[in-house]
Amino acid sequence: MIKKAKIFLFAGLFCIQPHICFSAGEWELPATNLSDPGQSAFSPQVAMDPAGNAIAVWVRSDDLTALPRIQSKRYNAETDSWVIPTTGIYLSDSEADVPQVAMDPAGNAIAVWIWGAVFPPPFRIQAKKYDAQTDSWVVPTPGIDISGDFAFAPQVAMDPTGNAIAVWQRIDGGTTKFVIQAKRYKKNTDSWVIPAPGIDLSDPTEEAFSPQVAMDSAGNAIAVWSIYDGIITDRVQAKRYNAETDSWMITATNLSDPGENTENPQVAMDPSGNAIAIWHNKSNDRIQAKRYDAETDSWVIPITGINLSDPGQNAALPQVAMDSTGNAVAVWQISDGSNVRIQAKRYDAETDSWVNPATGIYLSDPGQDAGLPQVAMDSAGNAIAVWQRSDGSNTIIQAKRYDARTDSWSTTATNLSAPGKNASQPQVAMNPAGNAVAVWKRSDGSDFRIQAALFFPIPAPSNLIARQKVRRFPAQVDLTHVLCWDAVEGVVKYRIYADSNLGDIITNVSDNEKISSMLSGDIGILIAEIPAQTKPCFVVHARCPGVKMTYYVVGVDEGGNNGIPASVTI
Amino acid sequence: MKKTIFFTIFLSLFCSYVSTTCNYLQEEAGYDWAITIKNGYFHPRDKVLRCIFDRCGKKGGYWFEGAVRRNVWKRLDVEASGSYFRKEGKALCGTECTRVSIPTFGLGLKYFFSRRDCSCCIDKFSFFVGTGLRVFFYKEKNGSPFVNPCFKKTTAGGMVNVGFEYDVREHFLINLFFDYNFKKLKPCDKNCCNQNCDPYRTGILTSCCPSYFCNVDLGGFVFGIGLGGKF
Repeated sequence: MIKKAKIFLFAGLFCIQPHICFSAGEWELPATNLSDPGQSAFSPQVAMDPAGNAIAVWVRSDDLTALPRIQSKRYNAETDSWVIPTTGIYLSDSEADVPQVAMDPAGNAIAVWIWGAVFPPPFRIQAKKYDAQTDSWVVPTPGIDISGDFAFAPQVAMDPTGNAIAVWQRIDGGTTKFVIQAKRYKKNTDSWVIPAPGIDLSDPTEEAFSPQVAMDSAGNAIAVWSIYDGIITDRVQAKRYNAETDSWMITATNLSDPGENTENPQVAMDPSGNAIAIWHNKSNDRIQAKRYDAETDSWVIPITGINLSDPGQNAALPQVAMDSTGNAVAVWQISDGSNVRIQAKRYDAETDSWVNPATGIYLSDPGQDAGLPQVAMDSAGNAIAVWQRSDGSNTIIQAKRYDARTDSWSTTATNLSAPGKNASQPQVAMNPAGNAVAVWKRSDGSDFRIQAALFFPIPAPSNLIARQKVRRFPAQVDLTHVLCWDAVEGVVKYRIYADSNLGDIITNVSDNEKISSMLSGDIGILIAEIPAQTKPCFVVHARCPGVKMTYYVVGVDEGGNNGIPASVTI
Repeated sequence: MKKTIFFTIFLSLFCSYVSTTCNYLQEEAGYDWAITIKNGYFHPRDKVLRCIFDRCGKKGGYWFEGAVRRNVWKRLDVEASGSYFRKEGKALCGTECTRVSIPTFGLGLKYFFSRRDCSCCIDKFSFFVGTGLRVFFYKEKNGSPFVNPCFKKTTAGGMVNVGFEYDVREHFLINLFFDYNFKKLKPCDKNCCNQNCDPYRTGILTSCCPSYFCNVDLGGFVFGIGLGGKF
């Protein structure tokens, strides 16, 4: 009796405590509330470092004044908990909005936001730096303000050494037009500086807005924005920052064609300096993209053309992410004739082409409207996309994961937010190892609260060993390699790959899957799938004597997502 | 070691036979043809074969043989024989079943040593010794998709025969035999070895090819009893 009671109690605790009731090594659910109740919070943003730590920022009305302020919390990967930095939860004074955040590999971060809404509103861009060593937000030199008055729409990017570039749009005092401006944060002097040739990136005689910025591992950057050329249409422009010369290009490059009405540009860079810029062409309602080739220092159109989406379907709000080898994933919303749905395409750097994944172009299910997609990638080319979608009663936040090895998105979307209340404004960040964090706002019945959910890829099977065993028949030998490893919690099956130079074998894997893994797999040929078991082992038959082989074992969860592979050479 | 034991026994029997106080050996055979049906036990010389067979019972198996002899000169006969051996086993370090079948065809000479003018029992005993060629039609069936499911090879070896024949009555005999076969089977000749084990093979489907082939010693002892007739 006592024993049964103990077991029941343990099971109850197991599902009550936060961060524990998760399934299958995927999303850690239910989501965690980051902001406190009592006041509405909104506009969340999040960034993640390679160690799995994350920083989320958002706007929340102050408890006393009800005026908006910037708040932040930090996810500590070691303790698996969201914590308030030593300097407190607030980053800004009152009247702050539209925060953005970026992190470097050391766990430091830069947050930017608009401050000042008291009439006449100054609307300045402010910035603070998070110091991972002291767990505190500090104000760099020369102060918290990095722009003049009437600045909006800040964005920030960081490079691996801790330098950063912030861009924003600001009303030029002389022309009264919006101009894109930029400053650079130098880590070694802990200060914001203006690179050559000046603070303005765009032509002050033309209206410019919606800036975005990305950086590569060398500290170079690319900024994109939309410009109104005075003849009705908007064009997408780009400029590149050269870290070696500490200067921006003199002349901006027009990315979109003249006469086309474009908006919402986005940009992503890989560590080598290649970039992809994506935007919405309002003239033909299509998503378009161009690629910056670092070797030729030029913007080019991929082989598959400039258009990503089909015409006439109200495509909008594109987002793009890149991995470490120049591949990219783009997402956007588009009408299927009945509802607005999320679509995705993948850019293959080897073939210089945009392609539909094996699972098709649509991410969200038909039947309900979906929108506001966001996407992030890890260094291996896996991606996570989040969006909001109606469940018939409310909007909820959904997510899917793209597996680069199988070129496929999850078969079913994971609902990150609980049903019953509206949730929106999803954002997602991913680190090179494939961990991810998503944030969004959700109503608690009275106010909106910021919530977060963490994604952990299925870990690599541990203690993977391979030994040779000879099955001797009278005149023949079946030389086998016996693979054994420790079971991985939460997986439903394991996939076993062999080095692509030594293909063969097979058991219960279809030819199409084998061919697919040969074509897409960077870890060899898929040779078998086995169900999860307590002490998993697999025997590879008909091996060649004296030939070295490498095997990879990957756990697969219910959604078909591959985990991190473990390898062994025999 | 086993050869030594064999020949020691042979020599003991032979010497004990000829050392009895009798007159000279019989010179004429007294028959033209002889037919024998023999049933024996084959004990393989190959240790691997014995281990494989041992997993399904005994290390060896039953050997059936039929032989036709023709007297060609005095006590010298030419004998043609056909035999069949089959035994199941299991692959070493595995659970797959395997079956070895070895039909053979032999052609050899046998010389019989008979006595006369001794007691009636001794008269009817003949001691023989023989040798000859034996062709092995080796066949191996395996219950594994990772080796050749049906492997065949024909090869020629040799045999040595010793034993006793007892004339129960005129035209009817009982045969007690101890044979030794010898042949090492090499599954591959120069052109086929390791062709199936190309390390850069990227085929999708299994090709039923083993990792490699191994030599098999088809030799071993066969001993048993037979019944026959002389004409």
